[in-house]
Amino acid sequence: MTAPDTHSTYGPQSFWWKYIWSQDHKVIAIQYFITSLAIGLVALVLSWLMRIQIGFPGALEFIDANAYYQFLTMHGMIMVIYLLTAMFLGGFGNYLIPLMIGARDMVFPFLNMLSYWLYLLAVIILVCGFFVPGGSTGAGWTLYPPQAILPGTPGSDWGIIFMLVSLVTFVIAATMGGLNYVTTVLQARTRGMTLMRMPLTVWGIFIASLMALLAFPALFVSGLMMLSDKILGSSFFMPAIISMGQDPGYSGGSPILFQHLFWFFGHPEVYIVALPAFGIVSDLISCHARKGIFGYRMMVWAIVSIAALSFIVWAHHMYVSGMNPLFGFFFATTTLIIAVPTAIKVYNWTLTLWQGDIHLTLPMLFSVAFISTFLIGGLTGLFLGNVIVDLPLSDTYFVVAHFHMVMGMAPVMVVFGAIYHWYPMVTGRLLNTTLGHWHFWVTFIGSYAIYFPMHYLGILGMPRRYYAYEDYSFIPPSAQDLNAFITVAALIVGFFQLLFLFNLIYSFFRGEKASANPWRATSLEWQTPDIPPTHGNWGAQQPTVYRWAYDFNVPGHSSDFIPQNTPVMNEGKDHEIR
Amino acid sequence: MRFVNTLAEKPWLNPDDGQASANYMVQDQASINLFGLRLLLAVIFVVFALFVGAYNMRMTYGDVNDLPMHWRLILNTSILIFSSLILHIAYTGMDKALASKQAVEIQLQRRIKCLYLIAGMTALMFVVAQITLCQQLMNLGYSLAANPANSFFYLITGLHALHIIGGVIYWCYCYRLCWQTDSWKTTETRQALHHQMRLCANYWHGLLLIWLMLLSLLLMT
Repeated sequence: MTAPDTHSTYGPQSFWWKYIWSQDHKVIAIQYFITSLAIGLVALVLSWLMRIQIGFPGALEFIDANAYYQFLTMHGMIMVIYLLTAMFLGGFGNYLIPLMIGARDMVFPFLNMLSYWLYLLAVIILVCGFFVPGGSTGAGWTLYPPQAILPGTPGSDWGIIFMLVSLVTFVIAATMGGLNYVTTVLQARTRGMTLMRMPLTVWGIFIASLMALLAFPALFVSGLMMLSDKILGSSFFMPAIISMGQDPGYSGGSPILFQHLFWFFGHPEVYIVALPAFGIVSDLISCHARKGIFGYRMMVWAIVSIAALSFIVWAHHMYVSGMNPLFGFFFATTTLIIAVPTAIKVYNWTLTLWQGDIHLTLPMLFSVAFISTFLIGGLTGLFLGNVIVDLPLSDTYFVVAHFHMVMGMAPVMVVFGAIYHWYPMVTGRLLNTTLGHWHFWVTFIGSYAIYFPMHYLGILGMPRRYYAYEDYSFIPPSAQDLNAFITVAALIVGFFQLLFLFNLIYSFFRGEKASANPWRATSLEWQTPDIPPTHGNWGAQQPTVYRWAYDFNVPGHSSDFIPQNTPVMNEGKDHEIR
Repeated sequence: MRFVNTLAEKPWLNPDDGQASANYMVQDQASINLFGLRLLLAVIFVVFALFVGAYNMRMTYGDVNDLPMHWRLILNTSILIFSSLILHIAYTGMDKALASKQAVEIQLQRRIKCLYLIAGMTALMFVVAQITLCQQLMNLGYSLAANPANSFFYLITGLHALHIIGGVIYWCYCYRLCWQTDSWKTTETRQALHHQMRLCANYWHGLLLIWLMLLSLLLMT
């Protein structure tokens, strides 16, 4: 199925309409990339500042307790929402969906453009939060009431309002984007592109978009209710409380209600980031191992089941808030069940590599790094999913290590792998490989150097979200040495991300020119008449799809790959045998 | 079931010789728009369903006062039902206009325009009625911060009214189309108008259903 062929509408336009107010999904994707990278850079600097305070307390005088909590909050929120979610859905989703399904554009291009500008507005509001009286909020990225809006918490006057308004704006932007992605996948696929012929990248982004449409409303609702508590004095989440010796006038609200709403969004959010990463890494591994993905159907089922299960595990983030033991049992069980489809995916990636013609290109290196970091992060998730283990480890550095491995480093590895893979399609040039290898090895080894010791610190009982760790008898002095080591590692890894940014810019001008399909990929995005693709993507005629996206090393073929739009030439039997 | 069957396909077994393109159906922009709108309504429904969940959870705390506004709410609801009904009649009237091969009779055009105008005006009337209800409650001392039931009431009705206003803005666009003589000239232009009215009617009905869900919640608790 596809939208009518309206190639004539994709003519040349003025600079403003082509690059600023563009409705071309590729330009919008790049706008998303640039904005998310820019705000991600802010989050990177904030993480450096936090680590300097922990590793070398007092080294930077301007970091007091308030500033530390503000950095911590903004770092978390930016990374999860404004960088990873925006980049995977807004960036990769926008660029790849229409190209991979053979469409000319998103089905609602104007809405798509609006989605980006609202996202940009959300980012601007967020950044403005730094400069309002009292600074940005320091409530932690979970924004738990009552402390988030009471005096004593940094940014409780204006910072929290800017944060909430920014989040609500982001949700509206994400909804506009999500509507576009889902409708485009379901309504605008080209001839022959059945759902089960779609590359797993599209499956991942499609299901993540559906999840976003269902989960983000919870953030929207909780954001509005907290804004009402803060500005209008309602008591949705605010209990009767004495704050700083004063009665702020709240009564009977439920902070737990906020936690339920927040995590009803917050846990699916993990998979909103992870599923596109799963999809992309599947395609990278298959292409760079020159082998069809192992268990394609299982991979699709796993994506769908992970999405469904992720909506019934949220309260495992709330074990320490207190709940009926039967609920604890239920949420622990569902959390462990979700490990099954996830494990299937890990096995299938590994089995795809098994006996593959593995090319150790940068996308492949980052993909393998993803499997490794995701596996480690996932295994510690099994620890934390159990109530009895979670209680002592909750709010320690073990949790910090877990989610940074599984939701931080793992998806970031995929982002890098994907950028190295698709950069030639976007720019027509290859990224510099030497710089890329430096970037990869330092990032990969560095991520272990940073987060492996954190598990140990967590088991020691080192609490997270503390500004300073002096005079705690249960934390041995050696922990400080480890903290200093982690900080040095984090600074080095951070610096090499700047090298990556340099590579992006340098290669754009000086990079080696890429051939039309440098990785010899089968999926449709590499089969456009022009690389980089022009507005409308497909020239006069949209492609027809004849096969799935993983025909690598098909017996009886001289080439080791068959693009999806290559018709069948008396080869049915070969396929049936496989 | 269809989705499960789809997921059971084995794409690696059946590279085809153009079979899929033989069964290829062009999705027109109208059905894409309708699909997108229904998806949007589903998302709006989720937003309000979450409010319902939060409301139910909060209402168990036992510190909730009832709001004295049942009859007014029912009256306002009847305005919204009327609006939705009229819009539906206008839209079905367009079916007749669409079937017409010749120019559409002036009388039918007038009838549709008139019904369309009434639908929009009554929707606006609903919003105004909701605002006056809120003002009345405030005057009686039921301020937003006084009780959780009040807070939920104002937030839910406010957000619903905002969605209605969004619909009214779209209605204005459709109404402008309705008044353009060109919109009635050819089958294609009539089809375009019919499509816009269909989208508008779908949105109206969707918001009515959501409001009925909210009303039952407000009346039952």
